[in-house]
Amino acid sequence: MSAVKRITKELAEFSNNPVPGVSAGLASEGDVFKWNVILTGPQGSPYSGGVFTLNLTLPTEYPFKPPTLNFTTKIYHPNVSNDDKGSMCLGILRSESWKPSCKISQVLEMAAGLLKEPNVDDAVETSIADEFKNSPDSFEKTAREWTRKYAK
Amino acid sequence: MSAATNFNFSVIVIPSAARPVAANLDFPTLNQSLSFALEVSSPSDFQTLYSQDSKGGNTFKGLLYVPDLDPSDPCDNHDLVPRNITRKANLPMDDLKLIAYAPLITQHCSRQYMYSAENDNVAAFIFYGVPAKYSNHTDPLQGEEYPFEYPVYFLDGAIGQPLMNKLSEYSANMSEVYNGFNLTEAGYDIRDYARIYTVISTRNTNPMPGLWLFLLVVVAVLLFIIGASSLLMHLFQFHYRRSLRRRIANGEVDLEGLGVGRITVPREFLAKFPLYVYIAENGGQSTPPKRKAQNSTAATRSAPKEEGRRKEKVRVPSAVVVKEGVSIMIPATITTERKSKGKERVKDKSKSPTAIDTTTSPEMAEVSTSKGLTLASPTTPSTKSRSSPRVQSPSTSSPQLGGAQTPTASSPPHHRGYHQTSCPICLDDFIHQETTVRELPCLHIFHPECIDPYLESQSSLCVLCKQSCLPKGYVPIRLTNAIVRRERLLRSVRERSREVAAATAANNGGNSNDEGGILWRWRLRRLRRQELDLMGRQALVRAGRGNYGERGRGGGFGLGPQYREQRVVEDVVRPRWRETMDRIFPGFR
Repeated sequence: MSAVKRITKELAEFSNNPVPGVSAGLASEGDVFKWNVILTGPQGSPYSGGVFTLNLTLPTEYPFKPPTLNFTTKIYHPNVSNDDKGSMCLGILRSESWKPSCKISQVLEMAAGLLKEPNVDDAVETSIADEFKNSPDSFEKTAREWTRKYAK
Repeated sequence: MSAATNFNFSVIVIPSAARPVAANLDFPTLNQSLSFALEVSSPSDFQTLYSQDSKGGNTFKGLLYVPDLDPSDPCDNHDLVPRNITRKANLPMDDLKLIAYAPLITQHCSRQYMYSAENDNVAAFIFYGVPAKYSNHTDPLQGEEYPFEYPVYFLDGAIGQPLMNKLSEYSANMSEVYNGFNLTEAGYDIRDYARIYTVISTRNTNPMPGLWLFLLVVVAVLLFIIGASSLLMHLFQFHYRRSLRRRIANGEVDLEGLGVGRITVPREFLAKFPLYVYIAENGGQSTPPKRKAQNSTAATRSAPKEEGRRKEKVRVPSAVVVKEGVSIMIPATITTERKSKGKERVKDKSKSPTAIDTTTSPEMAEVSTSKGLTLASPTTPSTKSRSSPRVQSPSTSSPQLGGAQTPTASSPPHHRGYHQTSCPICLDDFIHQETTVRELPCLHIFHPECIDPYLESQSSLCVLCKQSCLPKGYVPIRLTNAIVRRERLLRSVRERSREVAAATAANNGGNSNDEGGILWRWRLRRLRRQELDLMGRQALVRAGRGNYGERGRGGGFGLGPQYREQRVVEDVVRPRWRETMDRIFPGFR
């Protein structure tokens, strides 16, 4: 049950030292493996003003295996899959590059960072990534529209 | 029961001087124009009355004769059987193979003839039909069970009676047989025997059709080919496995790079990894909490090159180590590496009393230090001589050794390993002079209770740098043919890409995309398929135990991220026939 111990520790640490723009907590008391995360769209990005909810799921083998992040709010973003799962593609969340020393707060920090600055090289939605690269205006427009529509 | 197909009667000459072997009656046949020959092959002319032989295909050969009967026996009918007929007495030897010949008169007479023939060396018995006034039955075997071993045949009377007459012509000596004068004129000795020789050919009544036999032969040949090639392939695979095992043992093959499933660290290796009490550089002063995050992320290989580190850990005196009950064996390579890194590998002499006597010369100090620190680390003389120039000049090291109570000496800048102030797994801080830590060969340190179960059951890789913790040359897995194939393929692909790289470098970047050849593309595809296959099987194996320790290095063969994702989902179940094929013909695919 070292996983529970570590997660509890991280949760306490996170609540003492929260990441700006991110609030997180257990989805239900007694289950430390499921977290609810709320990201607020950063100022200056097409997502500003939006509130995005995510599910953070920790494997029982945590910290040896990486957690997974899923957007429950629909979002127009190159690094978030545009389906029911809304899984977020983060380099550090890949099992081969995951390190146990990586903490949940860092993961959330990176997730918040991705909203500010999408990572085109690591995109899951290649069409959105292309749009982001080639016609940033139309991308921004759609992203804003989706934020207004789904993330209010 | 095998039926007769052919009766062949001819006259042969047995020289009087010869002593032929009983079974072997190959004597010259008399010229037909001077003698007699008869072939009966029309099925209407004969019958097979009895035959024990079930296989068929035999031939019965022998000299034709009429068995003797008691002279008073009424069966000895001289109307039918001429007086000068060939009897046993007229044959040259006793032990020749014979074929008995007799008319079918009554059942009693048939019996008499057959009992008589039983005493002779007969191969077969031929009855022939006689006119009705002499005979009252046609079946010599009617009634009782037939007690004889030889087969019995029946010839039509129209052929049988003339043959009987002919037989009477070949009973006497050479001059008296039919055409005897001409025969003796032709040079045959008068004492030679000219006798009728009979060959009865038979066939099986239910012979195997030729097509079936042919198919059977084809199947047998195919089976043989399959068996032989299977054996050959097994031999080759055995050879390849042995060679791979040897190369792994020599450390030429990187097992993790092969991507062959979960490799764990056995307990006995784990026990050899150093275990010691953590000592902070600043001598147990409270660790600044703000450094933690920085440390946990800065666990890269470049870390040890930093000069300005503030915290160090040092190996505690041997007494402590012994208390932990761990034997410490550090491979020479690591020690060497440490020495080249470490500038001031000096030990507090109060902690290592054995070193006091030898500290006069820096080089000796170095030796004793290494002994005191690492307990029988197998350093070679070359290592020492290489490291000794790096040891600080006596003027600097001596004061340090002397000043045992100074802060620098109590926590010497023992440059080894990385800045780790907390366990990356549980994130708890290491406590100065209190926490026992496990050091992996890559020099990362952890709580033993955190890292040991993971290495023992999940992976052989360090969780931070993904470097293998297994000693070189250790073969932790069963080498299967699939692994052998994979290794060969990987090797060829690597060689190929090296060649291509060299070629493009030489051509100053010609067209490197067109890496030539269908074979090359085929190899790559095969490699990909194999990886999928292996992964699929692993996924299956893992399904029961939880999906953990996912393969450290992403396959060893960079195949793109989307591909890597795929393998987790991939659920390859190999069809049974392919498993069987693989077992019979290892090395295919």
